[in-house]
Amino acid sequence: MSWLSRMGDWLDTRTSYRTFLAHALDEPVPGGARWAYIWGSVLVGCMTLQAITGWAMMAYYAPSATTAWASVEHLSYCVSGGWLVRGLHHFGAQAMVVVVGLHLAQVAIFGAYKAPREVNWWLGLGLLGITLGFSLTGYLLPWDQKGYWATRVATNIAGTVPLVGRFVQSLLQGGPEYGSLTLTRFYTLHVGLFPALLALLLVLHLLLFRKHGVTPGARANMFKVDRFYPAQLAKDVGGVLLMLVVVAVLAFREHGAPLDAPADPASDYPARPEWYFLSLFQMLKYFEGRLEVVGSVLIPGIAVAYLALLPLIDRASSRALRSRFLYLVPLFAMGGAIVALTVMSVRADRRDEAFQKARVLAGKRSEAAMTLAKCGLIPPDGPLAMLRRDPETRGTALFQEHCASCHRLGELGPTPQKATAPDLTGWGTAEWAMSMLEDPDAAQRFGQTSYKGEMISLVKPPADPKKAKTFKPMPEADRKLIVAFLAGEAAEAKDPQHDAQGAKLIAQRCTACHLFRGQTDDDDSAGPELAGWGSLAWTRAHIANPGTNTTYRADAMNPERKGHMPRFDDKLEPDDVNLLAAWVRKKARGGK
Amino acid sequence: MRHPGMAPPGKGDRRGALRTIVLGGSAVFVAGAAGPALRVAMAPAFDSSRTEARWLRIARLSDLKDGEPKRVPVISDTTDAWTKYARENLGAVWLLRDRDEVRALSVTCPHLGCGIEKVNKGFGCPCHTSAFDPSGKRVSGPSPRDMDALETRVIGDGAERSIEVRFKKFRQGVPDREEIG
Repeated sequence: MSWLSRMGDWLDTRTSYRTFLAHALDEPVPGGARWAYIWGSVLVGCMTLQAITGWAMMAYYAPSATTAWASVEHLSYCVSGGWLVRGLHHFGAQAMVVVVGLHLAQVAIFGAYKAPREVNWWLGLGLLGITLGFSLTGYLLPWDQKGYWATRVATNIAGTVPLVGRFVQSLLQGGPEYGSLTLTRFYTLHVGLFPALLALLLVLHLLLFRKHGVTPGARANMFKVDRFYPAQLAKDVGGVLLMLVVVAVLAFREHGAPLDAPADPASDYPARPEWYFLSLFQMLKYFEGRLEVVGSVLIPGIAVAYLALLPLIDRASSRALRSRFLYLVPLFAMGGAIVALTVMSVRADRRDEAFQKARVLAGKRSEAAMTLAKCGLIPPDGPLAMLRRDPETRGTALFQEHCASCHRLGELGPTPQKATAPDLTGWGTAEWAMSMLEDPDAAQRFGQTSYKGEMISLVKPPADPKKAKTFKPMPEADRKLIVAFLAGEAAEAKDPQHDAQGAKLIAQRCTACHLFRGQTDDDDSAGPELAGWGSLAWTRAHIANPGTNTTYRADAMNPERKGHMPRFDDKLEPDDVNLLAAWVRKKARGGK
Repeated sequence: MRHPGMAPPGKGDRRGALRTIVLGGSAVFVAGAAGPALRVAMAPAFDSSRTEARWLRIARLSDLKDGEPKRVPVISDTTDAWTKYARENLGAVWLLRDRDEVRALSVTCPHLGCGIEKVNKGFGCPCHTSAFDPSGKRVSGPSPRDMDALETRVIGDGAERSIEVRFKKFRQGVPDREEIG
């Protein structure tokens, strides 16, 4: 006798484990083992996978508004194999929802909900609810844009429920608003309460299943009986492995799970729930105003109620599909509606250009966040503060919000026809300045602004024939000296005496209208200060208030100047003005 | 319990093959699910990367008096997991001045890491009563080695002269100094 079997004997005399094992494994399967029965076991496989990967992730996750995203980012990109564990958990969760659906469908079609198995059907529905609860709570935990906005919609729906809504919502959120307490609560549900409930219901579900046994199909050969082990279990294990392979392939293909930019309550984000909730999402589009609650709560509630009542409604003893068809019609209708609504939602998004554009922007923001975070570079006040301080991300956002309705800059801003302010692409360069000297009323300069006609070209004769007679174009050499000086000012040349000839020419030739180092011949002209033009100080002052003589004059703010540039020092914090000025200067010169 | 029609256990090649499928398949599943998870959970234990100790300015020479040990915190930028801190307490040292020379002793007890205090003329650990003489040498108690000395240097001139320390941490509970982190 080997030492292994001796050890087994020792243990068996003290625990009778062999009797337990035999009882568990020798369960008869009337009608024989079938692939149709595997889904319950595959679900247990899913749960095991989720538990194992979940525990590993718990060793890294930190639930608070400033650390959740950072810790998930760290796990995904800075811990060897972290992406795979997160990928397995992410796609494992989706597999679980799919398999729950298949299990439910199999039980419904085989009529396994019928007496005496009603209680087990209800336990199963409870397990379905917990599974969806896992999905909903888990989606929020990375605290990225996707999870944040989708889950906010879900808790807001909970808030619309009559009578108890507000209470339930603030209970879930840990207060009236989303924040760290929302995360700690969702985390508690996800890793504490739901697993305990799931384990409890699962044990009861399995005990009742063993009490009643499998429900063979109506036309099964009842003379054939297999044992659970190994005949059925081999099929079950095959199913579990197939599930794992599918999940692993998806995890490898996506290199883990997606992680969007950090949750930003101030952003506009094209929120969508995870795909298996898209049907519910789509349904909300059809109920307006006070009817909202019909789509959000009433219809899903009726569907759940029908599922729960099914064993009480369908009481005939026959399990033949034909005799139960009528009772199953609502189920098929539900399945059909879920598929149809999901397809409609996906197609609507695909055709929605604004949505696609918003998705691209969201993707860029996500990339920016990843680039900044790297490993161990997130500031103590969190990833959102990190992004907010990032000139690139913040600058783009500020420009989009405050400047892009009039100014173009590279790809940003209105179409050239709709721009009502100079195109800032190249602003501060010698080429840009030269184009201004030569053709100030070009469409990309003053042509579509309230300054049209106020600056004269130095090469084109004026429209007025009298003036045209005496007009002499400025020699190219002089123009080049002037723009060299201006470009030097914009680039903040170190030597204050740089391009002295250009400065001299400006003092002689431009101060009839322009300010230059505070001097001008015409106090009523709109011509801006040319000293320091395009420098950080000039740009900052101009954004803060264009009418202070530091850049343009008081006339720049004249209300009769329709569509003039507004001041921003009453809208933006000084830090933001500074950041925006620096960003515009850099972007204008093609800096990335 | 023997159900009519149920095959007796342990017969036939097919049963053997099915058993192999069940056991082998289960093993593959456990390995597939738990392998990556274990690797991730154990990753920090296998991380041997270390950051080079830097010279950190911690006090002015004029803040110290001859023969009077002073406990000063060591503050610097540091990284904890995903977070970058600009100014964070890394630890503390006892500074001992002897005219123009300064010695630094880590406040961390080499035994099990409690903070060493000034006791009478020497030093002592309040946890397990290890005692050290005024120069940091072990006198009694469970500490396996003397207090950990750190490299110091005095930089600058006159009133501005200040002390820099090369701050390191060492493994506790072993007789030899073994740098960590």
